[in-house]
Amino acid sequence: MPLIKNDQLVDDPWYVLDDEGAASVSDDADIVVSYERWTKDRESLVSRNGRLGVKLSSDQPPSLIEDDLKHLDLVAVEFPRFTDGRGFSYARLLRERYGFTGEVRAVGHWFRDQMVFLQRCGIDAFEADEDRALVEWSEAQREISVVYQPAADDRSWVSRMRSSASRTARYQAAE
Amino acid sequence: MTHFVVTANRLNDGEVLYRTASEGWSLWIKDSILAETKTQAEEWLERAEAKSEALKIVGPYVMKVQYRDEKIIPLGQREVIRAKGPTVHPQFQKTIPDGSHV
Amino acid sequence: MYRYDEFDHTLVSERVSQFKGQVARRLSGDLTEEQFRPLRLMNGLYLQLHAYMLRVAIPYGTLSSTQMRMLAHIADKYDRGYGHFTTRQNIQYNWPSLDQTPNILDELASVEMHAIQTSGNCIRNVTSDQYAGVAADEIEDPRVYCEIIRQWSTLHPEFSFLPRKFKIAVTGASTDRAATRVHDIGLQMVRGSEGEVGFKVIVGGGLGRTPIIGPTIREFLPKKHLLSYLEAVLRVYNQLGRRDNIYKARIKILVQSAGAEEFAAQVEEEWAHIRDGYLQLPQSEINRIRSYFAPPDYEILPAIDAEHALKMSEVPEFASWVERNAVAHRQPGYAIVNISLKPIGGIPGDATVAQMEIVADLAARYGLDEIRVTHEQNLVLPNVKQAELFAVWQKLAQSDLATPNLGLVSDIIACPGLDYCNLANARSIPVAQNISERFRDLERQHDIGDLKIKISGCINACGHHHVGNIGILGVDKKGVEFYQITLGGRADDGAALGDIIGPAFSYEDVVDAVETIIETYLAHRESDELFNDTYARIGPQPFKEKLYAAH
Ligand code: SF4
Repeated sequence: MPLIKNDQLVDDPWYVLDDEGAASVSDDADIVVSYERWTKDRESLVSRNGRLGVKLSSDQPPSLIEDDLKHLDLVAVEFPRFTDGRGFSYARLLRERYGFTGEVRAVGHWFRDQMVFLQRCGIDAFEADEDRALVEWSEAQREISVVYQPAADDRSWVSRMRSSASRTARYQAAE
Repeated sequence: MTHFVVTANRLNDGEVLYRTASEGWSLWIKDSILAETKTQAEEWLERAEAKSEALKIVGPYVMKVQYRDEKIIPLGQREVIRAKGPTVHPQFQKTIPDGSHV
Repeated sequence: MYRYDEFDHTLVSERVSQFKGQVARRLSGDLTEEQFRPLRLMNGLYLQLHAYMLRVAIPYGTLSSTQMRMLAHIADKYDRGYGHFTTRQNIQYNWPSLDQTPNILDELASVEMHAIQTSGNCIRNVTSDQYAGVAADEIEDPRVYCEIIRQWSTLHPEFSFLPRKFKIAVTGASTDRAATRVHDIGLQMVRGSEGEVGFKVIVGGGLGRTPIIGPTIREFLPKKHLLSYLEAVLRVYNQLGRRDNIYKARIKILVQSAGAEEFAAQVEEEWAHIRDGYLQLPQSEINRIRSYFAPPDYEILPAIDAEHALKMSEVPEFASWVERNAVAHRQPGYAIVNISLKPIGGIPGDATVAQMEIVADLAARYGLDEIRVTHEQNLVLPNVKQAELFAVWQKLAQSDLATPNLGLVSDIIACPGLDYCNLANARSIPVAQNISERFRDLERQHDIGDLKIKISGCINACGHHHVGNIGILGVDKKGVEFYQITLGGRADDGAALGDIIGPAFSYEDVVDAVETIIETYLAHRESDELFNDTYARIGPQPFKEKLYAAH
């Protein structure tokens, strides 16, 4: 499945390994495994050459892999239904609490109008199954330019902008 | 006797609609096509759920009615109110074009 | 009142354009109903029995006359000439069409209003004390913090898909008029050990299927930590709240199953990570928002206006209205005026275009331009000079807005019920109308005294029936409407849930049952005992005997 990453539609370089299969994947391949598989085969997975990612299902909070993040280049956060918003918190925790700088990918069910929220929470890659996804992504990003609260992104929120605006105003007045 | 009818709300204004024999929709329950079995009604419902219908209606479902003296009478207070309009605003009661109340 | 700055304006107007696009995509078939539904709900648009319903937020229940005039204009142009004020200090329109809704939102935006997050599993419109800013028993104006919460919670990226809806109420007074114990979060402004002002935090109260009086999880929260603490509560809830069963998804269930202490510990643990971060409220921002709520320029007036006193003695109807519907103001010479939206036999909370316009005019002319909406579905002019009460009363009376029944048996809370609501089991409005008609005689109402009747058309409890002195809940028995009655509930400081008195009554019998209950109360009442006190003293038995004796 293609991915939206850095505002582009790209081929997914990652190979998702199911819980049994293994043999056919080369040692250099970048693989994503389930959390269960990660806990089971931790040692052999870490000793591979390729990069490693872990997929968290919606009842697996990132605190479970807090100490493992140094081995990981990707965490996939699952949204089993678009109404299941646990992943929003998980993504923020990964970024803000645990300082994870690798890819945080949204997998499963979410829709266009949630993408900006996902991005604000620290998701930087989306599985996209249609050509339209990129158009939608750029539309969605342009729709709302104002944010009221800090999150995992680097956008400045309103109360901060207000206070810097008033600081500038004071500064100008002082001149 | 208990019969079944397919009902929905109109997409743009939410008006209550009933499925007719010509596979269209009517504002009046008297125009609805009656199914004698639930299975039959569910077949009709499936067609009402088709993609093209989604441009006209919202939330179709099967409801029960009584057919008596050539009149179709909705069963249960909820469907009575859907058919007639809110009971607390006589001015908004649904009227058939000839002026009579539903 | 709060005024939008460029940021607020931009957000609301961008949100309207966004919704316009979403509606267009639905109408063209690009979005299925399943995809569109959550989007319209996040803009307050429901599909009810006969039409769409648009719920417009009235943040913490405060309106200017310009805003009220706009609400009237919308009712006139896009609806059927009226609006319905709800128990959550919102207004609902019952007949808008989908394609016109973005235009309504456009018009609302022009007066700094919106319908954002009036529905959906997100943080809803923050509610407050209808007397905020003018109540004599107030520590601080709670609306400052309501506005801060409103902004923080608007389009919150993390908390827009919670397990279930989330309601916050804030009060700054010692009398709880905001029902903070039955909200997902209730905030009561209190003084700390050094006299500084902060919040007592109550989490996990609520009505609905599992009514719970919320426990306090923190006795004192300094103001500057308000948002980080709320974020911690919401983050714990978003991760741990149940998502497998809609009836167990509210935060109250989580708090109950974890235990209030354990839940509080989880919040503290989360909070420790974020309390000193970006969410700390700078005093400058508190001050900035507070400046919008600065008291108006009151005139220095005598406590008793001679002309007013004379009118009180000359016109008994006026005097009885003042005694019932006007409340002491903290500024000498001013009064708080309650406008009853419960005329005898009327629909609780409904106001016509003409009535909304009159209220707007009165606010502009006599009320320092402010109007409040109460969770008891009435309106308030919070700033009226005593000397002008008579003029206000006369104008209200001409528009059927001066029924002197505040807090009496005919001041009934009722949800829309089965006349409109898609979730209802039974009608609420006509039951309220019939009760009101039965007790039409105002003298009899005054004899009975303060008594709160609250009616919900289903277990969702929008009509707050659990906390009515007499609560009425509509149930469905094979398509027929029945009504279950509870006694002894209350929503204020001593918040309590009513007890079910026995088997439900039919639509035809429910008004008789209410009358029987009230007659029983009067028969047992000692001196000026309130209903709940008599009920507490004599228990349910005497009521049961009377109610079910004949059967
Ligand atoms: S209590 Fe039930 S019937 Fe009444 S408005 Fe709420 S959901 Fe509808």
